[in-house]
Amino acid sequence: MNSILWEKAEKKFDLFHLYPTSMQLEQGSIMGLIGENGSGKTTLIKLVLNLLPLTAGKITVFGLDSVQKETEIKQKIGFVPDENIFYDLFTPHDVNKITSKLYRNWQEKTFFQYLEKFQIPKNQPIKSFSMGMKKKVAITSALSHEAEILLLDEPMNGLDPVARAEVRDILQEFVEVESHSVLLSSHITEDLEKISDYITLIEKGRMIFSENKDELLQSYGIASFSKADFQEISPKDYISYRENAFGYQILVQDKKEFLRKYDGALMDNASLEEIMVFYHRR
Amino acid sequence: MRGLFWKDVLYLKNMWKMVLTSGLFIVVFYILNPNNFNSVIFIAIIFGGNFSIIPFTYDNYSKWNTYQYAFPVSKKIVVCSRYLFGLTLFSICLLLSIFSMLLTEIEYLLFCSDVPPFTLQYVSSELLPIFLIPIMQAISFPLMYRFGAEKGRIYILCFVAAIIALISIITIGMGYQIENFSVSYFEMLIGVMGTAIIMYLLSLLLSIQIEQKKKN
Repeated sequence: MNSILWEKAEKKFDLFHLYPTSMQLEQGSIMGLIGENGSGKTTLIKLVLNLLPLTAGKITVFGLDSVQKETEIKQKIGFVPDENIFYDLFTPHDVNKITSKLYRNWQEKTFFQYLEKFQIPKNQPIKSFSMGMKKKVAITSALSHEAEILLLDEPMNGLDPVARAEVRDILQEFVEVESHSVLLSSHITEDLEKISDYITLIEKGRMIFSENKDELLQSYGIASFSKADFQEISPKDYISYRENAFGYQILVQDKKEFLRKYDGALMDNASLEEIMVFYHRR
Repeated sequence: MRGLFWKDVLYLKNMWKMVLTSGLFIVVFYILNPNNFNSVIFIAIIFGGNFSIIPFTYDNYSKWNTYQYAFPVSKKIVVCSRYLFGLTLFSICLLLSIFSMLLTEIEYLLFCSDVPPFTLQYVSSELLPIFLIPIMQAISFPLMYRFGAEKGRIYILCFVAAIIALISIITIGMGYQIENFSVSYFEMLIGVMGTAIIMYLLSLLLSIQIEQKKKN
């Protein structure tokens, strides 16, 4: 069953256009959103929360219209924006007081447990926190009201490797409950590779693919060629290429198919980062 | 609504030094200048007006005004909570005024021979300026919602300047004084209270409309 369903969701700004996007976030799964800065990842998340009105299309959350049932839906969503939204002079203790009155199912105990886990002082003003600590306060808040969906916009930004591992564990633990799901955008594709079930790539406002991560990594490959051999490859058979000191590298969508056609080609697995970079070079 | 209201109250609590200083300033000013009507108006506007506007600036600065809608709150609730906060500030000012008035009376009883009679007219004249706070809020809140924290502040200053200019023209230029009108302070208080209530409600409806029309 779907947690979130985007049906030709479209958003037009003066200088940016998120083209009609149809995709789904399945229950019990983690979906990673990748793409360069300004590609439309945050827009896609904001549309779910109706922080931006849709230009066209529809988004449903647990089958409910994201605009008509806005407040009802938001009770079930934990959101971590890409920046701190609480007043700098507030302490995590204040954050607890405010958010506990905004959510029906606020769990104060959970909130303070996570703060302790993240080693965040509860009585110090947020302005004295590092970027990573501010992120942890936001993550803590998103996890403390029995949300069924987590929408995380660059949650790993500013976190050290230990904290990132902690967040990854928490997210994996979160989706162990069948009805739960996570949508997170991140530049750190390494994290997404470790925890995502699905990957969605957005380039300049267009959704390139939204696929199962394992199938994606099995399917895509990087083939290497000398300059002379590269001339014989049809541009239709690869997504893009890059030139290096040893020759050419190309990203192919279906490595098995490619190897059938170009027998003996030197093929490596493609990482998410490489897929993202090669798509950007198109 | 409680969460949003609490946010504004916590902001006030976190600025307790400034709030306490301002509160004490009002009390001391009342005691030292019990009949200085204009000064009291000025302080009331500064305290009640300014403290109710600062959260708009903070909201803007921390992008709360956008991201607050990620919480399960409607635009109507957001606006109503800010007006409730405004009323709370006004109530604090009103209580401080009453407290100051009582202190002044005690001061007169202890140290002066010509104690002013504690009449309805006297109380009305003392409380009258405090009702400028909800009127100020009623004018400034829609401006803040419509133009944002930065521009809104400029428009408010322009509006206040225009009112001061108008009052100056009427009182100095045209020679009209309050004493020229055969209205008692009590009647004036009732009039100002009525005006404040009507303006506050109209302002609330206007702000809700402005916020609902916004496309974020």
